[in-house]
Parts: sequence; structure tokens; C-alpha cells
Amino acid sequence: MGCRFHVLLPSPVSIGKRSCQPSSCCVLSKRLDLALFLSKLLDWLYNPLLSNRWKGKQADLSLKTCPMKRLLAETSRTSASAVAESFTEDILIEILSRLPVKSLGRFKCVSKQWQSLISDPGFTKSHLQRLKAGDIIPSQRIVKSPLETIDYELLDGDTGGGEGSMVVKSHEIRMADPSWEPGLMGCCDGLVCLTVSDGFLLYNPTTKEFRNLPGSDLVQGDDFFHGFGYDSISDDYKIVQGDGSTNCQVAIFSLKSGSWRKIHVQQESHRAVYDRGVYWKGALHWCVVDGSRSKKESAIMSFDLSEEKFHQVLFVPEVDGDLVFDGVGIHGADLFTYPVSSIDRFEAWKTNEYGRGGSWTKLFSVSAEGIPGGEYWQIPVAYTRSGKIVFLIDVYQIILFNPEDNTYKEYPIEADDDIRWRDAPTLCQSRDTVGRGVQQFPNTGDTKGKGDQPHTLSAPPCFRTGHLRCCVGRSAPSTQVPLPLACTRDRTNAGESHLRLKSTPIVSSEPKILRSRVRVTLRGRRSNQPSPCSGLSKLLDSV
Amino acid sequence: MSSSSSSSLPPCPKKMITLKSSDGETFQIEETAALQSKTLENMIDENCASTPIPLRSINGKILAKVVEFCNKHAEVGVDAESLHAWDAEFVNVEYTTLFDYILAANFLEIPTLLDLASGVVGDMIKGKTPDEIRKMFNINDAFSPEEEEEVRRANQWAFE
Repeated sequence: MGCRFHVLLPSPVSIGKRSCQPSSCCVLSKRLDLALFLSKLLDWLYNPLLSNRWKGKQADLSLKTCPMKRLLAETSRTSASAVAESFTEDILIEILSRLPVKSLGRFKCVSKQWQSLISDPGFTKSHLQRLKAGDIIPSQRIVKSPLETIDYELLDGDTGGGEGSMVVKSHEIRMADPSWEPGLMGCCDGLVCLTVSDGFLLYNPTTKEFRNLPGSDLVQGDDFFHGFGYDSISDDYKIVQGDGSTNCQVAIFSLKSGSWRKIHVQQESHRAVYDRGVYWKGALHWCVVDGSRSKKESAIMSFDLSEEKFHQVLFVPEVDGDLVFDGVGIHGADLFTYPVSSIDRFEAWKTNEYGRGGSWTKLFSVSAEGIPGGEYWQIPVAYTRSGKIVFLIDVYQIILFNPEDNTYKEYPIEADDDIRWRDAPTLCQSRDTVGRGVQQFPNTGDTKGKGDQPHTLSAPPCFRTGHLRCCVGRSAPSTQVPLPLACTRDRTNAGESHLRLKSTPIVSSEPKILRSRVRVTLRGRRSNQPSPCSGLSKLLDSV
Repeated sequence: MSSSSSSSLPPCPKKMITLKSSDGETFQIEETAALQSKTLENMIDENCASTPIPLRSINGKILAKVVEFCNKHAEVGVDAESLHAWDAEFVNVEYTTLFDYILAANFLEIPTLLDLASGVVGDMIKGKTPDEIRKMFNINDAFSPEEEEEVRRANQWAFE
């Protein structure tokens, strides 16, 4: 086994002190409340004029100190500001729940009351429901791994800017292991679930909030399927991870309970699912090609997140030629299927419901000839509101193709970091939400994350789709703090696998992080079930 | 909802109820139209609507508009498109008036009007800065500059 080393030198990085509120603040604010109450009471007792307007919830202190202003306020009682003052929280919620996410984020600065209203779990839930019901048109985007989002809807429309550099937004999350490239588990309700070195990470690309979730070693084996989605029956977000066998073991993480559990689920061998399921209407979806027959037949399989069962929901449309549908995507309220591996023609069909009423409508059918860079890897990932198709050509550009007149526009993706493109892009879509789920379920375990909380890794050796990983404890000579190591093996290239070895931050007792990155790349065959623990420990000793 | 209100010859006399505004003006409204308000519906159910209903929080000018809104929405045979156009015209007013509509709709529990007016206010304010919002809503429990800076920093994404 040939080995190559890339050793990145450690660099000290300090982290800011966590802000904490002294408890005296609370005492002070209680005293202020009392003072306010007393002043209100005195006003009411001695000032009959004011007692009239003391119906509103918030009293304007400045009015009490200035009789002239008070008089003006009385006379202009019908002015809008006076009316707005008597708005109850219900009314404010009625107005706020119609606002786009960005406005809500801004309006948290308006006042303490507005901040607490907007941050309220009940509010974010109803806001999301309104969004889903189509009251507010969501802006969707593509999320790819390594973590970047592509706001393709910005490109849509006649006045759309041709600013290629505006398209891709890179997201930097301060993770326990900064050198770890997070893998995509799935997207749902604007939240992105990622695999990270010590478990999972729930991330909201809009608000940039995130939260760490524990990993699981409940399911052993290979050929995983996985996904992330929302179960409306129990009002819970779930991470699902299972092996690909017929009587498969499935590990399910519930955000509400904060824990993993294991179940056994039956699935048909010739329609076994693998890889990431796409979340749509309460279930994860895959397009599975049944190779057991002479003519390849594809079907949409689903894993219902409430029932926790597999269903075959629809056969994909039969088309002329030898197109094999094997991909599913999502846009707005629709699920669409397309041939991932087609070289010369792309076609996509969409459906809005399945079961008895389910049927497919052709979305587009285009020849690869009309698409520049057609000989390279192309992924039709999405379509825009005006019906243009979004192609990702290799990883260097996005093409917006208009199937109506076969015209296209190219948007290069700026790549400034070669590491970024090592892995094949995995994509899913997300949209703007305030972030229900990120902060609003009970904190789980000790891994609640605002990102500035350094912690060491203690995950047991386990396997994960796309990554084969294990953790090794090792003492760092400088700090005498265990330095866990994680290995990843990418399965994206079938013939060749890269074994990357990464170390997590060394945490010392002082409030700073010493980041050390060690990357070891081993080239070997996929069949080399690694025993990296021993081998890599040796390698590390020599580093 | 209403089967007889718009026909020229109603089979039985229309049942009217009387509303009295904060400034003493009285308004007659058909019971069928008044039923859009849950508050009034409850009063009608409990037989409290035979005498004028005093609405101390709604002035005559606004109450006139609210009655107009209820009448329009109780009309039979109005197609959705023209009602939509009528609604758009109805809320084409200053935000101060919209606030009054919202308060009245909330007090009288008229979901259609509350929905309409809140939606327009939402559209109006979505692009505004926190400062503009504070002025518009006369908000006084603002953060201290330091606190505001901290909240702003925590929500930097919304200001980009």
C-alpha cells in the first residue's frame, strides 16, 4: 500500500470568550420592573388624565416625565403610533408571520418584544407552515458538499445578473474538527443535516445557526441509505441511517428526544435503496432501478418517517429509448425524476402526488448537444420558476438552460481552493427558513453547539456512507490531552479510495484552541478494509 | 351564507343590528353581513344584539369602513377576481388606517379583514430598517445601543 503524506503545520487559533450575563443583571431588571410598576401606580392614582391611556401594555416613560408631550399624545390618540402601541402580541404575530425570513432576522433588533416574538418556537413553526402552504414563496437553493450553497433562483429572470461569483456562497462552520469536510445527509424545511467528525450537525444556511448532534454506531455494515426529514405526526425531525439488506437495520435519531434507536425494516431485495433519500411530503425518496428483469424498470421508493416503513410509491414513466431514470429531485411542491447517468439526453418528469392519483408530467427533454461541456459530468439539479433547467457541469460552472428556445447562459463557479473539488458534488435543495429545529428542540446530550465550545471527540469507531471512519485516541505530547483522530474513506470513486486521516483540535485548559491538521492520504483498493487504527497510529507516531 | 340579502324582494324583512362607535355614531348592518365577525356572531347567538352594540375601541370613520367591508364580502354573486380588485382598493390607504383596520378586525374577529390588512402591512414593512419600524410602531422598549449591536451581530445574515 503506497502512502502519501500531507502535513499541515499546527497554527494556534484563539477563540473569543463566551459572553455570560452576570446574575446581578436579573436582579437589577426585576428592581426596574418594580420601579416601573410603582411609577405607573402613582401616575394612575394622581393623574386622572393618564389613567385613561393606561390601557396599553407598554407605558411610554417619556410621556410620564413630560406633561406637554403627554397632552399631545392624548390629543393625537388616533394617530397610527398610538394605535400601534395598543397592538397585542397576537396582532404583531399576525403581521410578522407574513414576512420573509430576512426581514424577520433584521427585525429582531427592533425591540425586546419583537425579538422574543420572532424567536418563539411557536412562531417559527407557524411561519414555516405558512411558507409550506405557499403563502410566502420560498427562495430555494442548492446545497453541496463541501458546504456551499448556490442561490440559483437569483439567476432566473430577464434582469438576472451574470455575476458568476455571486452564485456560490461558502459556509464556514466552526467545527470540532476544522479539517473535516462535512457530508450531506439531507435537507428539509431549510435545514441541512451534515455528517461531521463526531456525529451530525444541523445547519441553517440562512441564519447560519447550527447545532451538533451525536453520532450512532447502532447500525453496522455497509451500503448505507440515509436521510433527514420531518415527521409531521410526532412533530419531530429525524435522521435515518440503515444498511441496505432486505431485513435491514435502521438507526433513527429523533431531534425531540435527542437520542438514537434501532428498528428492523423489511424491504424487497431488488428494490433496496441506498445512498441519500430526498425528503418530500413526510418521507424520504429514492429512485431505484430494478435490474432483476430483462428490461430495466425504475420505481420510486419511499421511507415514511412517521410509519418508519418502506413503500413503493410509483413506477417512473416509460419513455422511448434507453433512458434509465435513477435520480430524484425536488422543486417547490413537486418531486421530479431524471436519468443521472445519461450522456446524450436529459429528461425529467414531475409528479405532485403518488398513490392512486399519482401521475407524471414531462418537465423537459433536452439533448446534451445543446449544452456546452456536455461531454463532462452534468447534473440537472433543479429548475427555476420560469422553467429553466439548472445544470451543474462538472463542478466548475452552472448552466441555466432554457428548453423553450434551447438557449443557455453560463455561470462559472470560482474555485480558489483545490481541496474543495476533490469530492464529487452531492446536492440537495434548501430554502430560507428562520430555523425551527436548529435551536428549538431540547438540547441533546452535551453537544449543544454555538460553535465556540471546543470539545474533544469520543465517538466510537463506526462506518458511515461515503466515509469510513474510526477514531483513535492518542496523547498529544505538547498538551497531554487526548488527541482523537478520525479517518475517512471516500467511496465516491469506485476503483480507488482515499483514506484521510484527520486530527481534531487539541483542547487545552486555557481558552484557546490549538488547531493541528494532519492529513494522510493512502491510496489503495476499495477492498482493503482498512485497519487504520494501528496503521495510522504508526504513521502518526512518525509525524 | 346569505341567500336573501341581495335579491330585490326579500321573502322576509332583513334582520338588522346596530353598532355604535366610540364617538357615538350608529351604523346599521345586516345580520348576515355581521356574522363575518365572530364577536358579533356570539352576541347575536346570545341575543345581546337587539339593542345598539357599543364598540368603544372603534371610531366612526373606521367602523363605517368595516361595515362596508362586511357588506361587500357578504354580497352574493361577486366573482373572486372582482372581489380581489375591490379588496386591493379597500386597503390602498395610509398605514395608519391599516393599523386601525387591524385593530378593529382583531377586536371584532373578522379573519378576512385581519388577513388582508396584515398582509398589506407585511408587504409595506418588509424592506424597512429596525429604526423605521420603531418609528412606525412607536416602539419604546428598544435595546440599548450595546444590546442592539449584539443582537445585530447575532443576526448579521439578515443585514447582508
